Amino acid sequence: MRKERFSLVITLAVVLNCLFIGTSFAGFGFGGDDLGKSGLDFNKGYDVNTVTTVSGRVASSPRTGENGHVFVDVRTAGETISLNLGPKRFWEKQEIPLRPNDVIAAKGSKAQGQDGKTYLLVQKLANRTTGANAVVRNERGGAGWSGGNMGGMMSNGPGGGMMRGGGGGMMRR
Amino acid sequence: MLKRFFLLSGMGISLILVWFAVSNYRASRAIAEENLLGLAHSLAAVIEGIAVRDPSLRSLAEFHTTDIAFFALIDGAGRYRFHTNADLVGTSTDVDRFIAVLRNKTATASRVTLGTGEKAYEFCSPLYVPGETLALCLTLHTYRSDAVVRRAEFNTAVIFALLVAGWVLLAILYRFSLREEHHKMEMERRERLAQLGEMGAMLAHEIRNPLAGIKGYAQIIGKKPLDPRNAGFAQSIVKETLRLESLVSDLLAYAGNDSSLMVPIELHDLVDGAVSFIRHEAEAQHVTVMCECSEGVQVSGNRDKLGQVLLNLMKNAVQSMPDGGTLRLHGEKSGKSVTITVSDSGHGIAAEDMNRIFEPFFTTKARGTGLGLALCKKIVEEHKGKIHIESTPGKGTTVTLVLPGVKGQGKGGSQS
Repeated sequence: MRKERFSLVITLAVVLNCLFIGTSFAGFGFGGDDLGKSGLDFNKGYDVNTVTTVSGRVASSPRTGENGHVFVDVRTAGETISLNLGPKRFWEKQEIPLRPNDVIAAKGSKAQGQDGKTYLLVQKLANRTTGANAVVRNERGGAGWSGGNMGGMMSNGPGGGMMRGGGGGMMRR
Repeated sequence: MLKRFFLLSGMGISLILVWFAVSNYRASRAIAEENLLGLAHSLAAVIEGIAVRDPSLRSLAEFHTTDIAFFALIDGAGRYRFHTNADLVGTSTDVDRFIAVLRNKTATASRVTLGTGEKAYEFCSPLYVPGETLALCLTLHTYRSDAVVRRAEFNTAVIFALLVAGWVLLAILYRFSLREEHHKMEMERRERLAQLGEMGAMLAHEIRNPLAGIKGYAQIIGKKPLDPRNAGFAQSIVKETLRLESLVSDLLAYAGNDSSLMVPIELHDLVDGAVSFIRHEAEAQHVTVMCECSEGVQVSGNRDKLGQVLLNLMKNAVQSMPDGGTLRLHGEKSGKSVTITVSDSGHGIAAEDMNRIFEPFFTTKARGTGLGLALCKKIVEEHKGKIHIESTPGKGTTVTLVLPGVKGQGKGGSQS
């Protein structure tokens, strides 16, 4: 009886420990949502306010990362930016090779993740070394892999007034 | 008392640490907000300076810092006069709070979530340029400023983890100390038993042999008394010597360390044997004996010793029913064990005596030795079993014995 009670206390302590640690860490990168370590929404996320163009050299070969998306690191003049190129299956269909040291230019929505890295949710990308071009999202951020977004959303033109709840942001997409 | 003091001290220290961790975490958020606000004010001042020097606002396009996610200047008509995304310059905004900044001439600051999912800090304030007032909307990355929050979160997690680890270690230490205390008591008990064993051996030598002589002489006197009155006295002497012999035997049995061979015993035979010894005494006291035992159930143990346990328990039960009653015996297999219950409808055991009933030499009977139940407990524990007593004064007592069964034996079915 005493042995059972002792085991129960130990189990309870371990569970509480895990809960406390889980709660404490939830705020910085290991949260319970499905956004991944960066906290960014690579599937549907885009913000026209943060759209910018970056250019630089490819630092490493494209790799599959968060939520099965493809990322490639690009060294610009001031920093290294992770370019989000969409889901792996989508990017593979584009058939645009990116090799280290290729000079590329990319336009997209810039964001800083909860992991401290800078990301660019690429709208379009040009490999100046090979001359290849790719369109990943439309002008308002509609994802090329989510069907129907490319034509439909582009017709609205930039600057549309989609808002996100909870006091978030200015104009989106 | 000392344990309670340490426990309360530990809880107090834990609470202080929790309070410290929580307050530290809450303070860190305020510090991060202050940092962001200070940064926003500084950047707003720089932007205002550039805008004043260059009313065309083109120079603002050259202004970059790593902390800015984007910034924009909006005029009274709600149009973007400047935006870090040049494509938006000249378009209209439908965000009311930017217009409200111009209307109220007050600055606002809040955390916002951008379309990318990024958690950012938005600062809006009126910006005075020659000839007009614009609304400045400045959105900042929070990663650098939130470093203090992350640090506080980590510290809080470490404190909580250490606290939990500390309490778990304490629980383990407490558990070990309890076990040690238990071992110490067990050693003392064994020591007492060893002393009792020595005393029993001495009694056997010094008392049992003379007692046999006294009994023999008394029996001779009883058969051929010189005076007829002596026959009764001789019978009394024999009776008392028999009682003393029984006491010495019990004492030797209790003090002895007999590790006899365990053999499978038919539960039914064991109970029947014990009942046959007590039946005569029970009938004399108008006690009805009812026996329910599953057929084919075997218990592992020493037949004589287990028979002695049942006999002692039944004797106690019969003696607790001087005006008659019912004595029930029930035996069955329960899992790997065999459970035997001995219940009576006697006067029961007083609540204050319950804690002492297994102590040697504790008795509530005028002529009892106080070794019966102590011996039962010892024998049952030697068999790796358990004995448990429940009693309600005035209603009766139930003694439950749990003894190891025989391996590979199915559950007993029929009853008799």
